[in-house]
Amino acid sequence: MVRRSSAIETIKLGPSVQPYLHHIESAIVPDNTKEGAYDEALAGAQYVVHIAGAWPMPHLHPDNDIYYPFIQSTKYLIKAAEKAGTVKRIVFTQAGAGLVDSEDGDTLGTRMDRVLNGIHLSCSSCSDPAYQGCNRASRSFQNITRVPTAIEVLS
Amino acid sequence: MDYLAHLQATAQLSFSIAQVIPGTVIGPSEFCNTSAQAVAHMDRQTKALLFDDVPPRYAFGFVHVEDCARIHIEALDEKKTGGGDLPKWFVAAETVEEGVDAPKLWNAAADMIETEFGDKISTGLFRVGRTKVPINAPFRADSRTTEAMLLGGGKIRGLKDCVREVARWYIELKKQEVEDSMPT
Repeated sequence: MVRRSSAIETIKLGPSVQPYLHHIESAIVPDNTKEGAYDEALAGAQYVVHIAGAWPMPHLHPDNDIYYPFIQSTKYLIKAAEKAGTVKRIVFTQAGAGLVDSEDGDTLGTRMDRVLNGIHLSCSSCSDPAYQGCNRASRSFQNITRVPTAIEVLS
Repeated sequence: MDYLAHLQATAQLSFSIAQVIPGTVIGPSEFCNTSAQAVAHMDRQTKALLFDDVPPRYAFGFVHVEDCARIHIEALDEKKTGGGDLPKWFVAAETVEEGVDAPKLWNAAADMIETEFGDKISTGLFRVGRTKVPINAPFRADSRTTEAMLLGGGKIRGLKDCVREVARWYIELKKQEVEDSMPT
């Protein structure tokens, strides 16, 4: 699922996809913030991978152009999967950029002393390894919810 | 991320949700046919290291493009991820050991370039950006959960391996351009 037909044409030109062209079906969703945007595309799908991201360009408003559209599209994707009734799993890509607070500016340093793993964010310089015990990490953790991500779906 | 994690944890849905956080994705692109295209689509970390380009502003770990793609697809596999709770997210980036900071990572990659591509540095094709360390690198990735659950214990390729592969790819594109420009 892509937003422009030119995108799927580009994908189909890739050398590695040539043996699999006959397996590829596509759907165009020009505006993924409209309610029901994904309903038709997800009908009958069992597995969904939600990838890609909106690069935070200077001319884009962080909330109006990135954050809220992302939240809406995510919710509509989940709604579409519920409506389909056939979906077993959705894999979402999240952006590492969401781990930091833009208000911190360039003050985060290069120590790499916070751990990003599959369980929690932790900070090795804190006594409590869980992210809840670390103000710095938990502040970043809060900002994980503000991830600029756009939509591509393979079903 | 929290919204999805909450949905996942509270099992309100008829399907499961897996989240993947990739580091900087590095690797050759099959959509590039020229060295100029390769540079235009190259990630900032690799450009900093191979061409002494500007330092990247952020780094959150590093992953080969093929490993990153594979992790997304393997995360769909309900058998591999088991019937229990999924991790809050799958980290798709090479594990970096505790005590290693960004300058150390950069030095290791720069050493590799100087050792393996010394002749290309001599000709000016590469100019090592040893000091072009990302300005903000507060996290080290620990992707052992991802590797165990999704990759059968296999290792995710990180900065040094990825930059090496991109360097070789770039050299091949340059070589091909020289050959194509030769009179037949």
